[in-house]
Amino acid sequence: MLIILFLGIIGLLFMTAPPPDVTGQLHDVYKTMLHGGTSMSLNGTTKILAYLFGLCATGTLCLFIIVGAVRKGKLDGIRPWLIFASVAYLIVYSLTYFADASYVSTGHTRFFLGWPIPTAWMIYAMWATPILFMLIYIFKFRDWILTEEDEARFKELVDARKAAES
Amino acid sequence: MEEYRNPIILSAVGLYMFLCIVVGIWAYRKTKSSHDFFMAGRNLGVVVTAFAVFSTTLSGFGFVGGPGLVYRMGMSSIWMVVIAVLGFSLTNFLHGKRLRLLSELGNSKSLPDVVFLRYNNNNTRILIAIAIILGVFGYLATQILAMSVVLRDILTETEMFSSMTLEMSMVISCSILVFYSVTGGIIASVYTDLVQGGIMIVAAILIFLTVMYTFDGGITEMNQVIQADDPAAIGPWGTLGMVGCMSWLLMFGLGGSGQPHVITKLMMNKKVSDAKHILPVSIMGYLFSGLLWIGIGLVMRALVVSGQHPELAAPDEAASQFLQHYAHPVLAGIVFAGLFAAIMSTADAFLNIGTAAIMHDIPKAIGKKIKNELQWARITTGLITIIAAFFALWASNNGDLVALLGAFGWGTFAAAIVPVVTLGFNWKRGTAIAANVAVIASLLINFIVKIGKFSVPYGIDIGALSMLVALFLFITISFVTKPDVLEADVAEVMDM
Repeated sequence: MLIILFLGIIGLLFMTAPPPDVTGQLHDVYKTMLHGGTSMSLNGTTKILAYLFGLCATGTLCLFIIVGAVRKGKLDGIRPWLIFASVAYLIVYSLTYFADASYVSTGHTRFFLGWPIPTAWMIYAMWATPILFMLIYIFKFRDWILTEEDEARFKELVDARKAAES
Repeated sequence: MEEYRNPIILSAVGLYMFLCIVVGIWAYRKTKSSHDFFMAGRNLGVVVTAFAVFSTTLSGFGFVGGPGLVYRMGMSSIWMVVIAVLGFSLTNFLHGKRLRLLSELGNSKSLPDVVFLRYNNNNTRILIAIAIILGVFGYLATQILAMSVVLRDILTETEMFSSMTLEMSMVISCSILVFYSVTGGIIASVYTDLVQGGIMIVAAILIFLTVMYTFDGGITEMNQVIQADDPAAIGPWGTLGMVGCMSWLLMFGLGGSGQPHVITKLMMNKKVSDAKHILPVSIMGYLFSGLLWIGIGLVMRALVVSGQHPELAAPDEAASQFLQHYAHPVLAGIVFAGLFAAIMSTADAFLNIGTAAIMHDIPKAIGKKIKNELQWARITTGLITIIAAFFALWASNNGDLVALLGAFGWGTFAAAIVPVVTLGFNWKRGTAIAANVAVIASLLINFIVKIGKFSVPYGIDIGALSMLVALFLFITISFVTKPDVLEADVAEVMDM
């Protein structure tokens, strides 16, 4: 469903008329550089579609991680952790997006640890939040990802296949 | 010290190449069979596997193209680095266990081998092998060309080699690459990756420290200079815009799990449970190396717009200009060695999977048994390099074919392999017919859009779009076709 929704949003984006400079334009002075063009957040329709596009992209990434964590058709032992990490990631994405929308409309120039506020969200939060997924993988590995029973059973399967082939 | 800059750089690159030769000779003694040649005997430790994963991911593009993109577009391409933690985690959740288990169960020597085990369909195996070969020639030719251009530029700065041609520098650099790839196969490849990864981390950290002190006010002043010129450039989406950046996030996050040269490394570790240690080590390595990408690109943009440095002739000169004018000669030497390391670590991985596809997968799919597979694998590795080198030379004089193939190599792999391998290995309902349609559709979309030079609105990455379409086809066709009957042990492993 998410993939269909994603393709639907892309279809809607294709139906809008993008401003010619939406992906940047040549810099007035330096020809090897691009200069920012019209932001999508300045138009009501493209603002929503752009946000949903990003939400689908981040949501697809989280969904695939969840698919990889399914074991014997279930998610029992790891579900709350993955939901927490996914929700945290989607919230951080939303905060980055809305911080940038405010940056574009108001021209705020406040900095946080070296970066404009929306970029600081990107650098510090969007980069770091997925560490939650990494920690889940490390600390739930033996409980859920690959239990010792599964590993022992796998050895039996390998031995059985070798015996059948020989 | 400044007058010795070129000899220092040359010495660092020469020392690195000598190390590659030593590793090649050592690995030759350890390579006893084609299984060793392609899969390193499935005997790699945590650190070696982790370094191989991250250094293979970060090709020469990360050292040259990446800073060039940041210089040209501001923050846009930094999403390719920001996605690293999520992307590597996703790859491990989806492949760290099941791909590794299935490859051991089938005693597989290549990714198409495991694909055959999963789908029990030779057409799927051949299609994946063809997708790999197409991507390999494009990517490999690009890497060889980049390696030769950099070596020529370094050598022509010295008096002794001032008349060095591109052809001659290609012969020198390819000889080193062929030597260790032919003699030691994947064992030489992953152990040189270890050396290469180490050099890349050291180079990136030192460069980032240099970048931090280029402006008196540090990173804040650098970013304020860029913001004063163009607020969008230092905003989170850079000049590309939000949708284009998010499509890159998807392409490099999910698409990373469809890169055969990277995920085959996850089939080679000794113990399946090592995956939990491999993940954090590879993430750390990539993050440190990514600092170079970000740092050089931003500082060169700031230096140019503040009038402290003349405008670059081309964005890809960002790294070389910074090293030449702002880095200590010894650091410049380390970074140039790191650049060769980045290019070679990716090139040798492509050589390995390309050789496996040609020498092992396609003959097996059409029912041909190759005698003395190890010897033929070595011959094929040499031949692929020679063909790719001629292809690179020809294309560099006849338009932008190599750049075109190289540019969509990542997207081609992602669109073809993500549905079939990333999803298909974690979803038993996926069928072989759906897999075949998804691979064909993804290749056609990529080729038609790139060759026809169609533009996609809002800067949406074509690889991301074709990957989504291929995923949609794979899921939909799987649901409407009769489920495949899997072998009992394969089905049980997929349930684990």
